[in-house]
Amino acid sequence: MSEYSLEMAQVRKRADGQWILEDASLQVRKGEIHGLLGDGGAGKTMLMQILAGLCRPDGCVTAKRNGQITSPGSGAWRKGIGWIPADRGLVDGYTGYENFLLGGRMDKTLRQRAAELQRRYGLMDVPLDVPAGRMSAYERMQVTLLKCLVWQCDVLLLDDVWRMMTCQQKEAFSALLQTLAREGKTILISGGEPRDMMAWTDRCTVLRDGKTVKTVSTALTDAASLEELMTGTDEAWTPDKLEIAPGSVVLEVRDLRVPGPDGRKPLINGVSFEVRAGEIVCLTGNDGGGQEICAEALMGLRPLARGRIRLGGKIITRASTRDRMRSGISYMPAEENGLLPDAPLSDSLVLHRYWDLAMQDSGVIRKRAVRSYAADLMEDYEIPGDSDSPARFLPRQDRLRALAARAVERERELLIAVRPTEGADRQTAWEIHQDILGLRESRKAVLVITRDVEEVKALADRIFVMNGGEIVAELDPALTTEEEIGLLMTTGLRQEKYGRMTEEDE
Amino acid sequence: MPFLIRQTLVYAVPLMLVALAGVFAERSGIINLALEGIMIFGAFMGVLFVRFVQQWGWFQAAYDAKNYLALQGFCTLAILFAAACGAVFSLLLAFAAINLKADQTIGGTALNLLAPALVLFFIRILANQNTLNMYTGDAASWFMLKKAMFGYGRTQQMGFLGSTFVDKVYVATYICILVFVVMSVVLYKTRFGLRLRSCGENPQASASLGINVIKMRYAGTVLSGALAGMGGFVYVLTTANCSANGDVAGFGFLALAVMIFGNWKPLNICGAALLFGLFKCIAASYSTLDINGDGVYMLKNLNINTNIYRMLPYVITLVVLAFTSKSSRAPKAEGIPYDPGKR
Repeated sequence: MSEYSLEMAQVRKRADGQWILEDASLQVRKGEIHGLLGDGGAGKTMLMQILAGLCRPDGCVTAKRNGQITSPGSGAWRKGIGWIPADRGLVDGYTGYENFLLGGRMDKTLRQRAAELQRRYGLMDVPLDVPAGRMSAYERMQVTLLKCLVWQCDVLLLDDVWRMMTCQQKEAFSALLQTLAREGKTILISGGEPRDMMAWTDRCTVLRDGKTVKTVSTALTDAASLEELMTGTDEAWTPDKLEIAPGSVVLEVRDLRVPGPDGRKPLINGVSFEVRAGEIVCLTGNDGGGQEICAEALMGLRPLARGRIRLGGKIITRASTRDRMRSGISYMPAEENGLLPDAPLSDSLVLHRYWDLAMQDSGVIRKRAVRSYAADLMEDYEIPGDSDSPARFLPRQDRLRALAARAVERERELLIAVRPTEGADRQTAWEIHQDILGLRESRKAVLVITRDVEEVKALADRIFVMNGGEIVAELDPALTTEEEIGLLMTTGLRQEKYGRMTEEDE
Repeated sequence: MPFLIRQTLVYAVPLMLVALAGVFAERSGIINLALEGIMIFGAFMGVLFVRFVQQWGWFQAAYDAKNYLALQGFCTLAILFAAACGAVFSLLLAFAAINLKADQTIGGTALNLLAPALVLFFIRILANQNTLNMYTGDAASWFMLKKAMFGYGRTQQMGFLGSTFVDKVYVATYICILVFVVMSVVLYKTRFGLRLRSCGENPQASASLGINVIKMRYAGTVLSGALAGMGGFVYVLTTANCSANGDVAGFGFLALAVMIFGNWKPLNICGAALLFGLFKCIAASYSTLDINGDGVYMLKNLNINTNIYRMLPYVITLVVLAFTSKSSRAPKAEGIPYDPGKR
């Protein structure tokens, strides 16, 4: 028997006209926690999917499981390989228990086995009789893990699960992983944060631009050199943030309330805050915290039950989305709903101003003007590629850059950016952050909606944490730790309060 | 009243069966817009089967000897044959949508255009007219249950239940109900059904559990084709005297509406189909409809234009759909080709 549980050499994979993986190799020992470190767009997810048997690579020199040659890209489940993506691992309409049933033969002892495992690994709080669509992202991930354990997988592929966890959850979850590894499970976990790798993995393979750079033992290295291997430079990518005294109030939101579907609990309940000129305000929270719905409400994409929105001197509570944009808001939506995936990129780049007389003539789009405008914008912001090819064909990094370019190019009074750098690599994130900080320097107001605590720390002048549709805290970034923000995001409670509560429970 | 119930069932049953066919495809992730085309094809093949078998004289002896059991068996065979042909026809859609990853709406529309043209072409060749009829006799004399078969005389009454559910009905209707129940159970209560439905919600998660998404989607589409082909034949058997003319009066599209109206769930579909069937029945026979048996044709005496009644089932569907489709929830991954290599 081989000492390796999984081996793959020189995996290649092409999708949407680009090489996602060019030369990825990996050897995972039995019973270790193996990290797969890479920046956004390095190909971690694709490699995981190939290992999980979800898609076939275009080329692969060797693929072995326990030392035996296998055909890559199929039948992984039967070989004991379980795939645990961040939160896409369950069928939404099914309860946790029904999701378990999908994995194998119907069996009367299944429920019993699940309960047993829940007890053993301290996952008693995980709901199994609730449809997965109603669980939180973290719960979905835990149920997916439980699913793999119930069916006795001995390899667990965890794809980017740390990203959506707060510090406390990371702590608890990684301890669980170490228990599992001690019991002989092989764990491969991907992520983009060298410090996590240092803290929780035994060995770590670094992936950059679809190629394996190196596999290192984390005991013999440090976070800085991992970071260097990952990004390929020793640049730190720290944002240059100047001291700026904020000016007058640009956006004032009072008592905003967004009704829920079918008159149930409101999605946003009584949110009030303001954003001043020359200031970046971060609105953060977990999935379902309501911060993204808040952004949509500000742009007029959601009906309001109550509240007032004032921009500059003007009340825009009932204004149309286009009027809001005309009166000085520019909007950077999240990547998945920002561009038209199958239309030429130039079309996407004029979505915020195609009604300008420069772009249209009595309702007919001036194709040439649009093209040259798009080409100029792409040149100014150094976005490679062709403005005529579909946006889907751009790498994620460039799609994010295109969205940012569109949002910041005219320097409006207020920028609302939703998850501006999610899934970006270090350099792209830094560039987008520089764009946003540039707006701040020219004394514009910025509202950033994100769940990435590091981004909050990098940008924010003030932080609002949302939980369950309400603002639970206003924080000063200089006086706050990431742990505290994380705790507020998940529980809506402050640290000292939380501490007291657990004491009372005991 | 017995007449009203009987006729309602005649319209409602094929409709709900075909709606269930739609559910099978959509739950597996394929939008089956071709239901209409498959119904037309299934109806034609079923009639063709009946015609040829009559021509060869296989069941003539049974007919002459009034062996009703054998005739019902013949009818069942024809239904099975129509189902098989529907399944084969739906393979075209499955291949285009699953292997070639074509746009499912366009694929379905292509089949809808293909089926009537193909069917009419063959009918012209075979029968040299626009309608393909049975070779001899009519559907009622061959396949319909009559009270005489159970020893009742011409003037004897069968009682309410008898005259509603036994006299002048086709066994085919009950076969359809049975199939509807069985297939609903298969879809919602078995492991196969659980797996099939998971492919329409989150195919990647299913694939990671070793479920073959391609195979499941083929299964969903082919079963859908079988049910639709069967529904098509039963429809022409019970309403058009077992003749095919390349048309099922838009029942395939109505079935899609019923499916959405029924929120992709069998019980709701059943209710929706019955509602539609009731109005369709009123539309077809309002002038001779005697609801409470007092000899007064109330609906006729209202003096409302015939066309209003004819419109009624469709208007009702439209209105109900407009109000209910807001709350209905389609399978999440339907219409999206399964392409594991995509990011």
